[in-house]
Amino acid sequence: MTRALALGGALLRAMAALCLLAMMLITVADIVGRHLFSAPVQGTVDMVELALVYLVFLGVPLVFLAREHIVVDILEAAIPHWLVGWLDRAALWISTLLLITLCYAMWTPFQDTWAFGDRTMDLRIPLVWHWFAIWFGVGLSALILLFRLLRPHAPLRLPSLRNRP
Amino acid sequence: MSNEFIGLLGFLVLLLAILARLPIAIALLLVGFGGYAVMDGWRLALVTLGGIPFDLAHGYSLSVVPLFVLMGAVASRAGMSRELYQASHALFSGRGALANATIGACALFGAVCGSSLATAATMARVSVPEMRRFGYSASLAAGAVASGGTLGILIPPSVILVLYAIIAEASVPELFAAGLVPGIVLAVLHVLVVKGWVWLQPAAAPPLDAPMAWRERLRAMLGMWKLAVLFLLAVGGIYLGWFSPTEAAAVGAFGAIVIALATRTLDLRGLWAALDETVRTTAMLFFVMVGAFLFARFVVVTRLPMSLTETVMGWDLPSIAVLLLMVVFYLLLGCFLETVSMILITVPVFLPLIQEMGLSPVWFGILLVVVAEVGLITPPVGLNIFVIRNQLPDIPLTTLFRGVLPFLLADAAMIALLIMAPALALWLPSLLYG
Repeated sequence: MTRALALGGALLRAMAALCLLAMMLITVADIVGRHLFSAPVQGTVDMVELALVYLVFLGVPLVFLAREHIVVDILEAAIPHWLVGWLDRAALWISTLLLITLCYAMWTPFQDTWAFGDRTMDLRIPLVWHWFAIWFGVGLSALILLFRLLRPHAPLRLPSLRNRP
Repeated sequence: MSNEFIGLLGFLVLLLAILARLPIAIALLLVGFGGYAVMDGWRLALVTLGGIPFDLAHGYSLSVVPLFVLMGAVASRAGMSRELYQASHALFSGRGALANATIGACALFGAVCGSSLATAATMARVSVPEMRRFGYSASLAAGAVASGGTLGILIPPSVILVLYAIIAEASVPELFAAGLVPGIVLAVLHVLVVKGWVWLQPAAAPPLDAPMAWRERLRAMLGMWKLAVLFLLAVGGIYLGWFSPTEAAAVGAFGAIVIALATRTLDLRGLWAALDETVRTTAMLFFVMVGAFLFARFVVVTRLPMSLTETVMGWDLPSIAVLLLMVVFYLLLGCFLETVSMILITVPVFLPLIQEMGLSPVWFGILLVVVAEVGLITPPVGLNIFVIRNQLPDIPLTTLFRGVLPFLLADAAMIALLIMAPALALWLPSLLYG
């Protein structure tokens, strides 16, 4: 379990990091090509947009795993401890249900894009590729939260990076 | 129940949900979706909800965010903050020199790093131990770094200004130009606060035993070359029209990586950590943004922004009174929300009013960021304070807050200056972009 999580987490992180690097390198290559060799990289915008979608939606489950979503906790000190636990439990339920609803709501547009074969302007990249990332990211996040609901004590957690720049 | 009432109710529920520890992104999605359903029915609400994340697929202009975050992350990890502190140290002399050096270094670091929190955290580790070694009071040391850190979001490149540009449909280059002069003025105001502080309470900052020799000063200042190169490439490139913001951010991040690897201040492990951190920060920010997009659509459907504009214009108040009301509102809101959500949530409501009053959205963005950054250093949320506390656990929270108080004078003066002299922000963009 712990090993599978570590492996899966590392894979997600590596893929997202590669997308970020690719986004930077493509843009730099385009600038260098355009200014020095009058040969811009074709379809830079399409590639950057694709990389951005993958980077964000591979990252979203990581943020859920590391519990790094922004939560305002100014009431924590003022309210009893049991209420904090109760609120967190409620927040987990709401988040899980909402993400499942989001997956359901995204199904129709996802299918439509698939059926119509929509593509990007320049490189004719199929837009279902973008949808894969979005669906995967939101779906995996929903699964993570669902698992946390059912097994509150399982060690399903990545170390947080926050405040350690 | 009128539509506007539903809109107001939406805001109330949102605030309650956030206070009840629901993650902000989830709270925005929940209230946006629920509110939309109340207005237009479940079917339409589901269609809108399902389409929102896909907006990012056409988000070329958004890609500037991860790239600038990466540039800052690399600069932090490569120890550029330490060199900056030494360079800044060479610039100041006299009493309180180290505190002023901290502020100067924070402002300079803000020129490569788009985030207040990262600036405060990085500088805290470098400058506070140094100040305490020379016997500076803990509250002066902590106050200087906490409030100096807020300069990072005003001085370009700034992630918050990019997010504002997206939600307000304003131009990133113009906002980056508009932030520079107020950022410098605010830094000078902070330095004046330090001068006043040590004049009133000389024991807070004992004199240094030996001032730096000129040769030493020169060498320290030359240590700033990395930062100067990056700033000229990235921000200068935007000002001069060489690059679009996304291109400038890519060049800046690439330049930071190349310089850091070439000078061996960053190894591959550090690069990986910077990439990892950037991915998560971006995912976290964009997930909030997806929620904010949905919430903004709901708010527009309720016609709340238009009604607010009509009502306030109907009062026939002078615009300075309206602005002051807004500033007070934001200062209050800053007690509950952090900067990003505060801006994403409120701008769709207030911007129409600002435009109706004939004020510039670019100028408003700068004012908003200055006001919002006050929230970063005031209780109860004060994120900068908590970041610094993480770095320096031995300084009590009350000392930190006391240290920050005098610097609020500088912020208040800045807000007043911006309202009285909008040219402070608008001069440079009009010079560059006509």
